[in-house]
Amino acid sequence: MSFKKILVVEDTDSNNKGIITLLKEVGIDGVNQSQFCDDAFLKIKKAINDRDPYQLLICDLSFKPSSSSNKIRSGQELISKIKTIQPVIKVIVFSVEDKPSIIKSLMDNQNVEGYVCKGLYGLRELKKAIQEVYENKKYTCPVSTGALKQKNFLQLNKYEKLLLELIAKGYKHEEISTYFKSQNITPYSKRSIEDHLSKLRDHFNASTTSQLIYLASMGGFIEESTD
Amino acid sequence: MRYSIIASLFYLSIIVFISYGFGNSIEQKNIPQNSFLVDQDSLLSYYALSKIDSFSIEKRLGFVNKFFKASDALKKDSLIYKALMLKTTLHSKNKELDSAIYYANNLFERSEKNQDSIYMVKALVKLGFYHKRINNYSDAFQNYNDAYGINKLIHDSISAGKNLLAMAIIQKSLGDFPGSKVTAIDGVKLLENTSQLKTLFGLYQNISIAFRAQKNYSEALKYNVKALDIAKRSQDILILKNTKANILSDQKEYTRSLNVLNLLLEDSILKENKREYARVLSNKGHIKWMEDKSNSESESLLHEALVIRTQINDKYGLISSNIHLTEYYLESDKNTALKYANRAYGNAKSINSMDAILEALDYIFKLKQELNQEIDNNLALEYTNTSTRLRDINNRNQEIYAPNRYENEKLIKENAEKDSRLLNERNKKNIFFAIGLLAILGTIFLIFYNRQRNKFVRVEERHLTEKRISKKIHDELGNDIFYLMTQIQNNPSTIGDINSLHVLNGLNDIYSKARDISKEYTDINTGEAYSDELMYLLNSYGNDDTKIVTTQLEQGFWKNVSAHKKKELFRILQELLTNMKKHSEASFVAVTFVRKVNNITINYIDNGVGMKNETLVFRNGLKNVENRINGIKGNFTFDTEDNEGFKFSFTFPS
Repeated sequence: MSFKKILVVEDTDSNNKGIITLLKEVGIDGVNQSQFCDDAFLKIKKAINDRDPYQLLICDLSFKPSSSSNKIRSGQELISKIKTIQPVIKVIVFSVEDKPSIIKSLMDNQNVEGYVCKGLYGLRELKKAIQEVYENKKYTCPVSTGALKQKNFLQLNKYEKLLLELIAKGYKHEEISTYFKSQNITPYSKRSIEDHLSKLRDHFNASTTSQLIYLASMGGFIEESTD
Repeated sequence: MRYSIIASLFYLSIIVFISYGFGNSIEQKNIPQNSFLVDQDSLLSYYALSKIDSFSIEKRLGFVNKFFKASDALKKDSLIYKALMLKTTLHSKNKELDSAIYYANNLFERSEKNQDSIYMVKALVKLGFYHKRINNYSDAFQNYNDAYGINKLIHDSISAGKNLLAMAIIQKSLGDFPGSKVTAIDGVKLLENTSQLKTLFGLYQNISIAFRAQKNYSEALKYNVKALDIAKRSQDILILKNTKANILSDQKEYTRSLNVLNLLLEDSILKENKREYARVLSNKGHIKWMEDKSNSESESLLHEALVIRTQINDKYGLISSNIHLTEYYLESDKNTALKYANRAYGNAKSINSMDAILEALDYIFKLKQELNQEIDNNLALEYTNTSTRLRDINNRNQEIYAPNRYENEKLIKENAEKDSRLLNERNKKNIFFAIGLLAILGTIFLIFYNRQRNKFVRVEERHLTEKRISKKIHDELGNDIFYLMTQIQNNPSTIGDINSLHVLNGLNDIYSKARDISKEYTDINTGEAYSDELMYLLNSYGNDDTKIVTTQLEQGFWKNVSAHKKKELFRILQELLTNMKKHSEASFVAVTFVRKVNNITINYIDNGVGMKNETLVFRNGLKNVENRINGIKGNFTFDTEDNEGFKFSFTFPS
């Protein structure tokens, strides 16, 4: 079982054909294609009016700006417009774009169901994505998942910064715990303070706390106190 | 049609370029390394032998020559540099200054060919030092000036400051006090608030002496105090206190001046240092005499100093003692005075100090005239020649330094401000001047305005072009390659074929490279999501080998920062991180962002191999970074040592 009616929007004709061949292989015949965003939007509208709406939109993000009369210029714009007139349609983005901020914005803000990067295994991944999305799941291909993943990257939050500063000033764990408690800063238990410090040491590749303080101050994480 | 031909040529050239890159790296790997290793071992033992201090210099030179020849044959630049560095030092120690200069020149030519700025500077400083030692002040000054130019270019302000000090000292020793002062003050501007106390001390002292020579005693004292504040070596302090006493006596503050010297004489350290002890004695005798011509102490003090200086053969001291004695007997006993003036002349000749020769000759001429003695024609000729030469050298030195100096925009601005302020005060009533100034300012403003506008337009254009090209590579080339890949994958005859698998993998490599190229130029979201954009950038450089740490940015951190600056900041970080990834082998990278009221500072630090190893490679990357930072009117500092990591910090107005 799979989708019955799909619209593929992709401005390279050859790629369009590749996708359609693939869809036919999995036994989906109700596939239409469009090379321009405006045209795609009209097709969606018409299908709604004919009471036979598309179930899935597979869409690229960037389109050649050559046809000057086009009003909708990007996949993102197209998706927004379609989702306002047909909120229940499922969308899979199929693009060469692998920039994390773009993928994240599409997944989180535009609520697309799937994201697949074109590449060596692009078509295979697209096949998987269609299946998953059909089962009401969200799907990102390994390339885009990788782009979104935290890679040995740490953002110190206010709590950790404050902790570093206090340690640098020579406070003992117990004193910090008392101070945090008095300031309503959580967690304040000695145990969690030690846990945080050990995590920080790990992240700074520091074997001792003094090495951690040295590295943190070299890196500018501990602001010089002005008093 | 034409477009598609151009486009395919463009892609083709990229593919050729990329595969050329592959080819190259393979070629390098294939070079057999073993023969090198063996040779290098014996090579390095020559080098080690040549560094042993207990061997005679000739013996060490023998080793270093072998090392030099072998490294030259191997064409190993880093070893050749080492050889030449040591070779020149040894020649200089052996007083073979012509050889030292020859090989220092050789070092310079080689490093210049390789555009290795570090060794270019080292060679130039050596040349400056050697030329100065053979009294070739003009060339010495030129060498230091060239070194300064390079240091300024690579933003090594510490070394640049040292070069300026060497230049100021040359100018001072040639009696060009205004020039020396200007040079030294430029040096101070570079090094103020740094920990380069030794250099700063020298600069302050030079400025103080220059002011004194120009009879601006209050400024001279001010810089003397500044130098005293940071002087560490007891020898330096002794010299400074002597200078202080001399300045005070110039101001006719004899009591205070003598107090300084008497305090020094009580110091036990002074007694151990004969040269300085003699200096204090001679100065004290001279100042006492200035205060009271008929005092009974001066004569014996001056003679005592002369005896000590003769014993330790302190040539500069002897000049000073003999001049002091000439002055002492100038009125009372002209024949004796002439005797000492002749001695001072002899001392000055022996060390070829042009300034001192002229001073001594001044006294000799004056005394001979008063004694009705004939003045030797040769002496008169020497006087004219020496003073002409001195003037020429001084003029030339000022000309040498002038272009470098005026390249420095900041200095121009500061000087313009100072000059205009002075002029303003002098010409307050001169309304024409005010109008002239207005006109100039107006012109400057117009030029500046136009330049700014052009720059803005150019930057905008560059952004647009970057975006256009990136989009092309990304979308069109990307899609084309993707299409080729699907063609191969969908072709039944190629399924499972090893060759097609190779082609597929190759295409995939090119595909990801095309994406990487375009990533450097893709559009950057400068709106609400900008912080996320930055964090994704940092994140993308983290992996199992490299940890990246930063701070969370508060909401509103980027408030009022223009889109252009945000974009440039993004690119700067991208360049730094790419460099890190390519060359540094760092396992830890920290990036912090600090927002102050009017500016934003970004600190970058890693624990990699530092810059020295990769000087050349890094320079291109840094050049881009520098251009971008200059473009947003920011400034930066960096700090790096071999294997000590890399620290880079830049600030720009928000």
